Amino acid sequence: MQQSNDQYLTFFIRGEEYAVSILRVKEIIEYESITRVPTTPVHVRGVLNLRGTVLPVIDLAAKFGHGDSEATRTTCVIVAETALGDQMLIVGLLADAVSSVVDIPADAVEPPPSFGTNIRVDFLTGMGKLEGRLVLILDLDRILSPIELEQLAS
Amino acid sequence: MVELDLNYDQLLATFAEEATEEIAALETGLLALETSPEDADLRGDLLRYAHTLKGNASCVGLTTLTSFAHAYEEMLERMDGIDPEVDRALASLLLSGVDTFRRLLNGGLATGNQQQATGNSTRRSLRVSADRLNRMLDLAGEISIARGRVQQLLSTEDIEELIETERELDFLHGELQEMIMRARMVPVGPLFRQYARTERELDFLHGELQEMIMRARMVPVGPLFRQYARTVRDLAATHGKSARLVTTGDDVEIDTTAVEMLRDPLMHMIRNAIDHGLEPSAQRLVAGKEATGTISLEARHEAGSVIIKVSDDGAGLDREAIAARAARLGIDSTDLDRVIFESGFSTTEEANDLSGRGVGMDVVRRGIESLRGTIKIESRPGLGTTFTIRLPLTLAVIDGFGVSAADETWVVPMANVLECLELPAAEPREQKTGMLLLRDEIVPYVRLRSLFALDGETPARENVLVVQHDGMKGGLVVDELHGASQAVIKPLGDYFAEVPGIAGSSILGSGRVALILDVRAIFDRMEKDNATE
Repeated sequence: MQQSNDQYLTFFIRGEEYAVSILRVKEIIEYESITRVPTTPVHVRGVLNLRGTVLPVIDLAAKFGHGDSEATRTTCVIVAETALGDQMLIVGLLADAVSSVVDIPADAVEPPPSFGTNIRVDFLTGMGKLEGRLVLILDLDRILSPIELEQLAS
Repeated sequence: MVELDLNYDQLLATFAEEATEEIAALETGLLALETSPEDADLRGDLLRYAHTLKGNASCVGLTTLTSFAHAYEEMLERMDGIDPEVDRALASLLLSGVDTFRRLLNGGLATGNQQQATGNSTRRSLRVSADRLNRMLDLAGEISIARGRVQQLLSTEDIEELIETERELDFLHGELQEMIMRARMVPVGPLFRQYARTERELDFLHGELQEMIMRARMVPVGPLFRQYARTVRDLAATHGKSARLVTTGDDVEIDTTAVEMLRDPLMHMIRNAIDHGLEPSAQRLVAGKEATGTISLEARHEAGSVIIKVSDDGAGLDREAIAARAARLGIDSTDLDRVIFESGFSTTEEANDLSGRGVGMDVVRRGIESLRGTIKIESRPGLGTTFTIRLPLTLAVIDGFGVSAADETWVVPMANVLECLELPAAEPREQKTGMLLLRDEIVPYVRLRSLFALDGETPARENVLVVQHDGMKGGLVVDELHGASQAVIKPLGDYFAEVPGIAGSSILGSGRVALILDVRAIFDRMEKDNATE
């Protein structure tokens, strides 16, 4: 059976609703203690142990310039796959709360407007129209680019 | 140190396996080139395959195959992407050459084996793919976590959760069992009926399994090093030189993937050392050296890395020739060391059996980089050249010393630890660095929380871990000392290119990640900071 590409996982960061393609999401885990890694940018929250594998955790709020997230009862980590250069990488993304899995058909996705999105337009693949509200569909491969890695290394 | 003798049929078997792969790669590549003759990368790949094949064949003494590969390489070079018509014709000619390769390989192996027909070993060994081993390790890890939960639940007696966990554990165990069966290792019996009782059994099994998998991945470098004994002797002889191989640290264990990836780079470095580095015997005698040159391979562990050194006691790099050649080719020559690793660079004008096509060092660099390692060249005129390869440890157990600072646990490799003591109360609490007088010796120290800009308050009582690297001594001021324990080193992952001062990570008993400190890098950083102040 052909798996539909129209399914997204939606979640909240600072009250804004975001979506990522469900095909990229491996699992959602509870927020647990994350080990900070010194000398990394503020949006690199640290690393956590996922069944023996050490995963980097990215604080999307900090990445979008909203300051770093305070962990609350609903805070969770979305474990997702993202391309980095020519390889795939598993990372954890910090979200204030996970909402639901929704269908957003391709004809309900529009290009983002040139301003008004609150985050850099190039982090988005588009705006999804969902029951009269807008969700920001993230382009995971752009959020963590190799260029940023170089900055990390320096 | 040991001087090496050579296990010829083992060598031949390894060669046969690799040569078969290289020939197949040549075939696939040529077929691809027929459809897209303008693809320069593809042509580069083909050259590399042929070059490696040539080198390996000459290493096991298959002369016909070596000279055929040499001619083959020459023809490959004629395919220059200028005239697609010519290239296509050459490609089909070269394709028929692939069959010749196969015939020569089989013929060569037959005679090679006849020479050493006796003494086959009865020890059965099994090739298990690294992917599968990784998956097994993951599963073992999952079981360990699920087991922790069982233990916890057994004390709370929450029946429903207990049942849920049981189911999960059962599933994981089944999956692991299947993996093990597939890998044809020891079959495990059904253990999960009354898990309160079998939990202990599983605990043991799990520990055993984890260790077995880890051990299976780690192999000593000795056999890898020994493969080059023949290369050194024979190649030196064909060049009218005399050389021997000396190895150190044969029992240093490295990850099996690293062994595979290092094979070609080491070969190329040794070939270069013989061709460019070592002088002919007569010249060596004039320079006051022993007539026979020495190529040495050395391995050791250091701060979460494996160091492999390839050195020769030859004439050193001819920097003038390299600079001149770089200028002629229009390559930036400010960093001579880097120039050597640029693709298509060679100082030898005429390609020969040993080197000179500018392919070798390119292979070296790529091989090392694909292991996320670094390579450095040191060369002193008249004394020789040393290549130092530093590879991150992908998977290994180290003895570590746990400390805490700012609510995080940090692990210091035991090899660096000298002693620990309480920080004297008179020492200032807010400064980043300071000095201690320890049995009449001055020991500089750095506060870990200042070094890494960790937040939180400095506690009233602090401790010092005195560490050393390469003869240098220093103190790390931390909040608490936890003591020695074994730690499984895990890489921080590809996302973190390099975190200064951190060698890797390890998972604590609590399931939390602890970072492993890189004492060498911390010392480097402190020295640099001090110099710029």
